[in-house]
Amino acid sequence: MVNTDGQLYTIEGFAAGLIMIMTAYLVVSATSVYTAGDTHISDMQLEQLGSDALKIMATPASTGEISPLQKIIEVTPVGTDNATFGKMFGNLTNSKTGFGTDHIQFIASVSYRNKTDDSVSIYRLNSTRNLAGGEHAVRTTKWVIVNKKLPPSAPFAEDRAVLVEVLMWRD
Amino acid sequence: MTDDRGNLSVDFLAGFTIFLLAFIWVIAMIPGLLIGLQAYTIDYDAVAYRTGVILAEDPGWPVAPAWESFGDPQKYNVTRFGLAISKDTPNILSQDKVNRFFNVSTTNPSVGFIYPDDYQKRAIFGDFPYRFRISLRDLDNYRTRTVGEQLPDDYGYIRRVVKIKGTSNATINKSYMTSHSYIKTDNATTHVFSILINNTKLLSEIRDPAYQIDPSREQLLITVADLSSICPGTAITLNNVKIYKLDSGIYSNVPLPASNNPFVDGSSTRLPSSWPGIPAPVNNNVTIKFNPQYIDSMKAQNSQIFIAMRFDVSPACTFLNNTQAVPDYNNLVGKDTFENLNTTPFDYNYHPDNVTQPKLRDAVLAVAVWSGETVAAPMTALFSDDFESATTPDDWTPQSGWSDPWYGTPHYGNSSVVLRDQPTYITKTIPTAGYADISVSFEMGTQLSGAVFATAEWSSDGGTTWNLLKQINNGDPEDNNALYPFAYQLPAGADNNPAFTLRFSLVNANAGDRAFIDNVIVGGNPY
Repeated sequence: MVNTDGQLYTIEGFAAGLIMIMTAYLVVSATSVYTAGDTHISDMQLEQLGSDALKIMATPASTGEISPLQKIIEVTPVGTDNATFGKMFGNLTNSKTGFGTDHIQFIASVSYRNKTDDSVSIYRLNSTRNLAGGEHAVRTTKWVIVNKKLPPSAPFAEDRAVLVEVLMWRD
Repeated sequence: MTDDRGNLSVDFLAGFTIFLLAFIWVIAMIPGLLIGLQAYTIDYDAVAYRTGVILAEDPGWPVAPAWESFGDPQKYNVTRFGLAISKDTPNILSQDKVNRFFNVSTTNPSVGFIYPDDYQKRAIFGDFPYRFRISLRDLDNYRTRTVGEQLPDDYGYIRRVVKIKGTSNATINKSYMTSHSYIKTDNATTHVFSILINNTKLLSEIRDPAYQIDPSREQLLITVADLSSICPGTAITLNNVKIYKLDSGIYSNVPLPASNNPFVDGSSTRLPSSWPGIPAPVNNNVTIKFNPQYIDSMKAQNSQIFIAMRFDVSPACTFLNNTQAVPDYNNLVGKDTFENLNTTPFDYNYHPDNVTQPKLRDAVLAVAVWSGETVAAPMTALFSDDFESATTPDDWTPQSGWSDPWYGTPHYGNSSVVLRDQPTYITKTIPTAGYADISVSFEMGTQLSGAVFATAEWSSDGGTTWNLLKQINNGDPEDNNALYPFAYQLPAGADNNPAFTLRFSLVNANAGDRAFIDNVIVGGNPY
């Protein structure tokens, strides 16, 4: 016997499927309206500042020179603190256009790949102080090409890409 | 058996589905409707960020000719401000763009950009009338430039670390002339000194715009110095300066507009349009400073530019001469003159012995944005002086008699005050007892020469130590015989201080040097 029952259930299923697809589309494509408190704007501002500072430090002052950041990494023995980095990075990030200075703290480190075993080594370049519990830091990085023995036991210096990573936070 | 139960359900489902689709569609549009209703307060940071990105990473529009080369009458052709040298060099700012951007006036559209209207359309964007303050602090030169208003309590901001590309310059002094045999023993009255700007080499030897010398983008500064010591006792006149362009083997003479006339003896103003009809007497030096717009208008990117300067001396003597003027200066023929073995033009190139190369300096750019609803509480004016008194600066303490009311240009109202002709200063102690958030604003400008500069300073200890607010050096954009507004928010040391003191100084000054000050206001909030 032939009747319309099957057709009825097919159409119900089709309609329900359509509704579910439309609902999913609505959820995925819904516009999110962020408010100032939701967007972590202060984090973005700090990241931008750190990124700019590293970029500026990686830019030579005139043609034929090497950048201050490259020079700092090349002359600093692995594992040794470099006060020049701290002074320069601190000055660039804490300087304001008006009176007074900002209060940005940081921990800077350098990481590189060991060619022999593909492991990654990290050493601290400079820091103002350690991050205390409850303080919220942001991370900014910059790749730099340096001519250096990495690791220090390497037989000769060669051009290597190292990653300078800075954790920054405000007092 | 058949019946119509299925048809009824299908009708219902079809209708309900259409209803749901329409309902979902309407719901999806609601966030879009609300976006237009949200408070502007939440996007101050976003607007400041956008403006910071545009200023630090974009060269502005138009690019060629560059917007900063547009004079005040053409400023309406500037579509967008941007301070970066090029789109390929974010965070590296052009000194010329910076100078033009901060050439701001409060009222007069013929002497700079007007705050806020000109900046609103070209840097902030949008129809909402945001208020803003944009500052650039040159960390290496200890100089801060600002456009905008005093900061309120609540505002959105962004701070960017940038570099400013300095301009290149060359000084051809007697030592250089001697070592390069530019002083010929010809004992003549007419001498020709030529300079070569080889654009082809300048633009090809260094490709990175951050370090490139590009005359069509940045001002070149060439000073021919020590002229008085070459032939002592001789009267020197700059008779003419001719410009020749060599393009594909063909020389052409390019007229020198009066807007690019040379400067003589450290003057801050160019030779008048009556020159070269009336030759200019020269005591010691001549400075060539071409506007990039002039070079750009030559379409000389693949050309060589020769600058031929004619000096006349009386009586005849051995003088600066590196050019064989064939057949004579008034009828120079490019090939015979500049491809002559006796012609050895000074080459403006990347050799550090010849040219001080452009250097990048560290700086901080800050953009703050707020709206009219969140302006700072009005301050109490603790002191103001518009220097309208005929006995100005009578209520200030002058160092000597070299400060007077000034009724000429520049001034607001009837008069400003002028410090003039010799090192001098005026001071004023303004007790701020009972007040905090001290702010200082004033109008200042100069007309200087040589190593002279003018400063505005404040002291928290009655003048024992001084803190610099503003310094204008010879050749700065503000050194053009006009007044510019400056405003500063002072640190806590100025609060509640009976010894708070202001000082305006003219340093290393000689006859003819002038610093103008007007409309000094000191404000604060009661505790």
